[in-house]
Amino acid sequence: MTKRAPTMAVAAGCLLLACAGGTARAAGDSVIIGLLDDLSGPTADLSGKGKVVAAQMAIDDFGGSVLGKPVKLLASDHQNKPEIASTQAREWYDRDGVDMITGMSNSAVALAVRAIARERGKVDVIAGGTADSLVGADCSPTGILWTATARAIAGTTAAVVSQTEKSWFMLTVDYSGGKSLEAAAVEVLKSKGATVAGIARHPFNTADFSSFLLQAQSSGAKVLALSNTGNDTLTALKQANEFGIRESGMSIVGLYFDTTQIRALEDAAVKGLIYTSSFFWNRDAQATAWAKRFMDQRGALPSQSQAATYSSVLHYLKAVKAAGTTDSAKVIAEMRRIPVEDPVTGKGWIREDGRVMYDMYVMKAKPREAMTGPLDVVELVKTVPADEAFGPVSTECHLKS
Amino acid sequence: MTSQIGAETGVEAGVRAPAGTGARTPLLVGAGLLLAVAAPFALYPVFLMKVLCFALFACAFNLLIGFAGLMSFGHAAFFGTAAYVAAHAAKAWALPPELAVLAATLVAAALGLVFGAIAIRRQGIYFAMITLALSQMIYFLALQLPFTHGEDGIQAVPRGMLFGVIDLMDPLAMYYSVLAVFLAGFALVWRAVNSPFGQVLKAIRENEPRAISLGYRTERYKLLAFVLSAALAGLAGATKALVFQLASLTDVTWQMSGEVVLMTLLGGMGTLFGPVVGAALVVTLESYLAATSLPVPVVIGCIFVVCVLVFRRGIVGELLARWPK
Repeated sequence: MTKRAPTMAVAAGCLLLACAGGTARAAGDSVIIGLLDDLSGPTADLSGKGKVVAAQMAIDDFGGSVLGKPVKLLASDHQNKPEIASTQAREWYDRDGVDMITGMSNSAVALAVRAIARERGKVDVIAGGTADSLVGADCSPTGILWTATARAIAGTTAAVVSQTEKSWFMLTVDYSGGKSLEAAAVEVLKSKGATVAGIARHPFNTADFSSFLLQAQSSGAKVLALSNTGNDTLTALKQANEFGIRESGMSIVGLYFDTTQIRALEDAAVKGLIYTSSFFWNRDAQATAWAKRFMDQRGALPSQSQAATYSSVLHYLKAVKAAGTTDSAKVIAEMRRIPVEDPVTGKGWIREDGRVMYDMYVMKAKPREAMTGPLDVVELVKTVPADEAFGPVSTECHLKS
Repeated sequence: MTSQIGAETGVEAGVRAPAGTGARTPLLVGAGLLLAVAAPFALYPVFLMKVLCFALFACAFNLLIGFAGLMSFGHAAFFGTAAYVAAHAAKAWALPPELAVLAATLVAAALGLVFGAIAIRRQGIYFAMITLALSQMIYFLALQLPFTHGEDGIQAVPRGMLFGVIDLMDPLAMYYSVLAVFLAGFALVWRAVNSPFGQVLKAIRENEPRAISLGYRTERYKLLAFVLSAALAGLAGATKALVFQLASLTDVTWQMSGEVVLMTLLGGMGTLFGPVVGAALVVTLESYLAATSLPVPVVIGCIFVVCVLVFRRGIVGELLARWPK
């Protein structure tokens, strides 16, 4: 066996060379936007696949070219692995002439790409990751965060609901994403004089919430706050319905919930759920028309991060046009200078720490009999102005500018 | 160093193999090395480094399953722990890269000693399940301990200056350092397999009661193989943390343990170069399919099914079996 081993070394080497399919693309004759997202994993539907549609919509709406060069969209599946994302981001920036990377629906991926982009002075516009440090310790002179952070989403819900409800119970998924949602909400609750009657931590992907729900019921709290995401939130809502949480006088808020998830649940489980979103497709006629267009192309309604992707690509192209170049520093300067204005975000601006500032919407899921069409699923509780929702610039963000 | 080992094995192989092949060996080793040295000029260095890290990881795993017959389903624990330790040491303690990697490898070896002492008391599926359970404990720790930063991972790890003189931020310097680490690890596996120790491991794999009856204290051999494998997996994980400048939960999940099994089986279990080929194949697919519209896990799954149905010995195993004598 051993005598053939060296032959195999050569074979392995040849295989490596043969597999090098990704030939260098000539940069300079087009403006290339890279979309790095989950295209095959658990969040592919809620983020990645729809983001490809949204990003292409933005390019088409812009006219398909800028500075006389065609705009190209490259999409890559990060498979929720930071090292795959990191390899792809390096290759895109270093070799393939990608001018801007967007997407990154995973905080670990977003942080990894942010580090690479900052090192190279390249543009990254995150429309997916929600880690607070992206506009804190990990902020970057060439980085922009389009999606709302955990602090903004959970904090806004807590601030609005705590005006009437003073006793809360937190049901938190036991990892840092859940804990940061919980911490953001608790901080706001304390400052508003509300009390936290109890906290239950559940493992990721829990199938049985019964003991946690009983704890919540016996705590005497008036609000059950779900500091979890995805399937955990859906399961918790279904089981909360079976346990009659609402009948016992508690209301339920989702600290991280997306409007597109409403239809995935039965009416009794979701009606009355209060949550905060960065995108409200019934905000005005333009937003509704955009959501309809998206639905025609994708066959599903747009999630917040998909809407953010559209907005980020469109704003980037506007900035390239205004700057007259794809040079990162100049484009970023333009992105901060010109106001954000499109059907998705409405009106907004980009703050010096890279935070995109826009209004946030506290919403309440409608009961099914009150819904009149596929786009009519929520009622607006309150529009929270950007400054109030996102708070001041973090003291941990140090930008040399 | 490598040529010396090549010569030694050439002599050993010559005893068992027909004459004439021995002369070819140094030539082929040289060609393989030349290819590895030239590769970064044709291919993207970070991609190659990833292949090398996973190849070393798969070799470490193969040492256990291919030569000692121990199917561990918890190797991600060593890989991931070492990645976290190396990343933390380089970032928070500002250790130079060589010390960070060394510390991480030692931690992985120590962890291997603990896991091994518990797991080798059982065989087959029980062994696999014990290693899986233990590695899930490590996963839980990685998720909960504050220094790992949960699912955000340890990011922006500095690569630092190797021995205080070589700047690893230079892609080529980093590549050749990783290549050196890989070759050293691979040489160790090669030496271990082609030593009396390796022969005893194979004897245990084939028939443990007979090895015991011949007077070998098999549990010691198995434990040593386990620790060696854990240390090498740790070396691979620590190197990977420096290459990508991050350590994340991906490295400690059970899927990572599964991935290394997949690499080894695809390449050829129990062959020296099988894991290298398997790792190169899987990493290449993950990288290059990512930019296509094909769902990566489905494609890799299909390839695995085909492998199990059609060429069960893996790519290298099948080539070796069909190679003209």
